[in-house]
Amino acid sequence: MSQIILLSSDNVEMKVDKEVAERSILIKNMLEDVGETPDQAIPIPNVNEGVLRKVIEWCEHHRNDPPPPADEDSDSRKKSTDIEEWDQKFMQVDQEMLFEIILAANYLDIKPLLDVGCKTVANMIKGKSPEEIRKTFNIQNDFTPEEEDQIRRENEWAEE
Amino acid sequence: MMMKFLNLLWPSSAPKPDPEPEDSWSDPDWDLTKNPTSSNTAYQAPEFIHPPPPNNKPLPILPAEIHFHILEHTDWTDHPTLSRVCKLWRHFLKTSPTILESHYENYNRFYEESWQSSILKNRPRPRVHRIVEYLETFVRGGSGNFYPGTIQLKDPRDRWGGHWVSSNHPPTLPSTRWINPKCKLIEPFDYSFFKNEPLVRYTEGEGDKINISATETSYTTENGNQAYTSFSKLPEISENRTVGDYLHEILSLVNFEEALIEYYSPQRAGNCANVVWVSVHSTLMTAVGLRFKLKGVYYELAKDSFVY
Repeated sequence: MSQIILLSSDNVEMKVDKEVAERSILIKNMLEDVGETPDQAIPIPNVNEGVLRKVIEWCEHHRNDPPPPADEDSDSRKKSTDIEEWDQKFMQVDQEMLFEIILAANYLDIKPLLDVGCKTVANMIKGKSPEEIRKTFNIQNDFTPEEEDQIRRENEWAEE
Repeated sequence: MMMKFLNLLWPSSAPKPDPEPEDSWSDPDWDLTKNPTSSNTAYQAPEFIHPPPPNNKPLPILPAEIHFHILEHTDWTDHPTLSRVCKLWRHFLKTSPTILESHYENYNRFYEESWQSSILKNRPRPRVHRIVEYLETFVRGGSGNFYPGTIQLKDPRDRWGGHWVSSNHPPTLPSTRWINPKCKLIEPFDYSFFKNEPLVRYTEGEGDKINISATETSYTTENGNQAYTSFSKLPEISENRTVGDYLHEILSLVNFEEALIEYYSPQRAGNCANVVWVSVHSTLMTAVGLRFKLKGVYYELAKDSFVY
């Protein structure tokens, strides 16, 4: 089985089965464009070694999965927070790594991994207050006090 | 009177339910505290699984497209809270077709029954707002007011109401009774977030038209297993109605229950109904106007059935 070499952003080389690396649509398209298995390492400039190893681990486990539906809005991809058991354990990492995996999956175009990451975060923020969520995502509260009042007043329809 | 019932819709004015007593059924499937969507204690996110970075080290910034992707995977009951995080999230939650679609479920009642004709079984099905099923039961809380609740049965029937009999009165056969259900308050949230959304979405054309109506069945308990039952009916909730319209109807119905007891039976003040169950049923828009009604179903309640 042919292998390729991936080069992380911190210049660490990793040898991977081509079939595994092609779980990334970015890499798959690149290899198709090149037309042959490259001898040189493929740079992955946005992903450091630790994150790339995690991503490869996921791709190894899911190497035989059927390709995701072409339809971007497929119901099978969205609207669910169900995560299979192996993926749940895989995602038991700290928040920083979780976010890095999501960013890497987005960059490398690995939609099923992106879905698992986003579902994990969706489960993580369940039941949290807006302020707690803002902290998690580094989001500024851009509502003015007047706007917050207005949102509260939206409830007043029930009083009429 | 109206203000008294606003706390059905206003989480801020609703009292926090008391802790659950320890006499829950031992079967974990019936332990409501295991179900985050119906528990009367707020779901606790398992923070320890994903510890935040130490020393307030900032997390990587996720681009907006990933924020949206995450929001598309959130539960519909979280959307009111999530819409208060920032303007971008609020705009997305209010305008995304995917988010809107996640507020609906296929209306399958009567389509799947074994006795149903194949013509009806194969009809396109409308999608009904999830609030309809979520707010179908109101339980009288310790304060005397009604709050959204759930009923769990040891002998579960289908989720739309389950058992069908031909009589309008309490059935006599034990097999037709729901024995000792557990009643529980659910954590209210800001339902008004959904108020402008259509109650029913018809996505497959003319064939999936339905009207929805709701029947109120109220129950009271006296001396253990005795049950009192009364029925009243909401007007049909037809096309072009919003979730806000529906909630107003539901409020009217529950308010009427209280008014009825106060006006007609003041002597029953101590024994008034403590569960109002709103059963939703449909009129399939066929040439014959086929209609289904729920009849004669009642709960055999014991006083200790209530978990506040």
